[in-house]
Amino acid sequence: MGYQTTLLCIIGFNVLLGLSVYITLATGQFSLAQVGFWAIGAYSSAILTTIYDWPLLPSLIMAGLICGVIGAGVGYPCLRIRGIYLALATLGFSEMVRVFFLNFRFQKMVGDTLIGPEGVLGFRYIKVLTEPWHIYCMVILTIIFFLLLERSRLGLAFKAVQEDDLAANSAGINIVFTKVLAFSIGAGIAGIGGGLYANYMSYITSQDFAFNMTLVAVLYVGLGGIDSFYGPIVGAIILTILPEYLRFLEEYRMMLYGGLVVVITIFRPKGLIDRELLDRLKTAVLRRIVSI
Amino acid sequence: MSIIESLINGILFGGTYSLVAIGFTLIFGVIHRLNVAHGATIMVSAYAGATLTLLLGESGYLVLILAFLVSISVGAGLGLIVERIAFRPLRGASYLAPFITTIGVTIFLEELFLHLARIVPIFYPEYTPFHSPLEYMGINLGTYYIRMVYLVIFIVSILLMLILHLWVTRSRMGRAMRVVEENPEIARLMGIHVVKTEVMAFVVASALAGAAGCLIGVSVGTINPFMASHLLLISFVIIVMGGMGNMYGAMIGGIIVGALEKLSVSLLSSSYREAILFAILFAVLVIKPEGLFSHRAQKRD
Repeated sequence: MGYQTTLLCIIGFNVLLGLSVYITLATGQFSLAQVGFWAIGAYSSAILTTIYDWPLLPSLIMAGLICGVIGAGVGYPCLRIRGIYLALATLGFSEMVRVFFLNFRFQKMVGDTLIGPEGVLGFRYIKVLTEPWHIYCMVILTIIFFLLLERSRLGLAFKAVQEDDLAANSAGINIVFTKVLAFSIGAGIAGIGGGLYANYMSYITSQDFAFNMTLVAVLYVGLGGIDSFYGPIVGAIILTILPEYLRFLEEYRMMLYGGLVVVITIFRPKGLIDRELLDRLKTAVLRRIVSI
Repeated sequence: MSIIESLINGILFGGTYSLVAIGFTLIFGVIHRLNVAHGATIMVSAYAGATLTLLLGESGYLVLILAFLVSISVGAGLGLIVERIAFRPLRGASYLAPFITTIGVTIFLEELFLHLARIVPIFYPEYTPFHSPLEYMGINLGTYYIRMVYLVIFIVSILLMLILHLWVTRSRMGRAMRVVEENPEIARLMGIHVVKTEVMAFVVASALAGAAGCLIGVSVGTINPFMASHLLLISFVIIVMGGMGNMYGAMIGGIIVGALEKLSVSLLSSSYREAILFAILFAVLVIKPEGLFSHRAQKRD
């Protein structure tokens, strides 16, 4: 596989991760649980395809469903807390998941070899079923989902809850349902992303889903902006490509990466793609159309 | 190792956790933002202390005390810089923005020291040693063996906490800080310079982080650029247990977590100890978000 294709795949994964953080944040819930769901999706889909010989698509749907259900289970008790408290609680969840998989053993004889997650050693010899176009398809489907969501009543409900959940509640929106649903959808997206990732990498360990990945996921969303779903997409793309373009700096590139993150955030605290920029783009496009 | 022995060692080493968590919670109490760069501050100060011992090339008590002072001052200086770069420009922005900048600062500092560890001749690429005369010393209490380092760590931590307590309750600046914690608007009306107070909170918190960095480096014997990322997670648990912004909760919480950690190592397999900590984190936040030791109900955002 060529360098460009691989890079595109990684961008695809990161966009999915960023969007799954975004959808929860779209109802005002700052969740760091996404990496936990990513790990659950990765392990469950890999077990289904590799040990039970399922095809990729059903295993992905199953991974998404498992994560969606667990997401609702995590999201419901988390309704009581918000902001940084919610972030820390969900970080606790992610870390519990990581430690669980660190100790998780589930091995079966497949053919004549023993295959399955092996604690610290991770899960080796996962079937490589994910083709690059699977990833692109998933990204496009997710973007279509977000486009539809933006135009739906549910999307409006999300926005209302994000702005002010008390006001949304008095306007007749069921906040419990809306918030838990957002949590669940975010978990589902992360689960499917994780499943694609596992069947792409062929080897996963619990260490892949550590605190660092959580921090990076937050960077995508924070740097891209949380006013619309374009933000996390742009954030994920830029932050994945940036280290590649900085390769000529060799050892200094990650230092510059950290520095750039700081500088960009100082100058655009609401993220690169904020509402102002979107409005300006929208009027520019409209003007172009009108003048034609 | 017997249970009582690990309990004693856990409580003694827990002093460093308390120091880290107090700094963390102090900053949270004053500005209600998380300083993710707190971990990097610990790491950089530990390197500063270790550099001194490596340069002087000997490990007497005087050198150790000097290294400790260097660590504290480097920590305090770094706190000033972090506040200036990652927080001051973002006053009034959402809580996400300083989260992002401090992650950026952390990445920068970790990568910087990863690079320095490779090119500076006195450092080692993987683990840089932090020598001290306490390295192989220990005392026997009956049948229990206690590492001298742990004892020193505990005494120093308690002393620092005592000084901090006196500063917060007696000095003008410390009391001003508590007012800002309570309500920045009223503090401003009372003629308190809020920004200056916040800077002071950063300096004190980061100096404590520097002290913790030196103590941890000495007790482990080696330091590396990623030594603090695990510590950061642990101090999240501690400040949540003790109640966010509650200094005394962090003191007790640190010691409890230290004891729990060493206990669970001797009772369970070591990889489960973190699971227990994070289960506590999740449960406390969901059930009693104001922390275990506080009866004051706190705002939940």
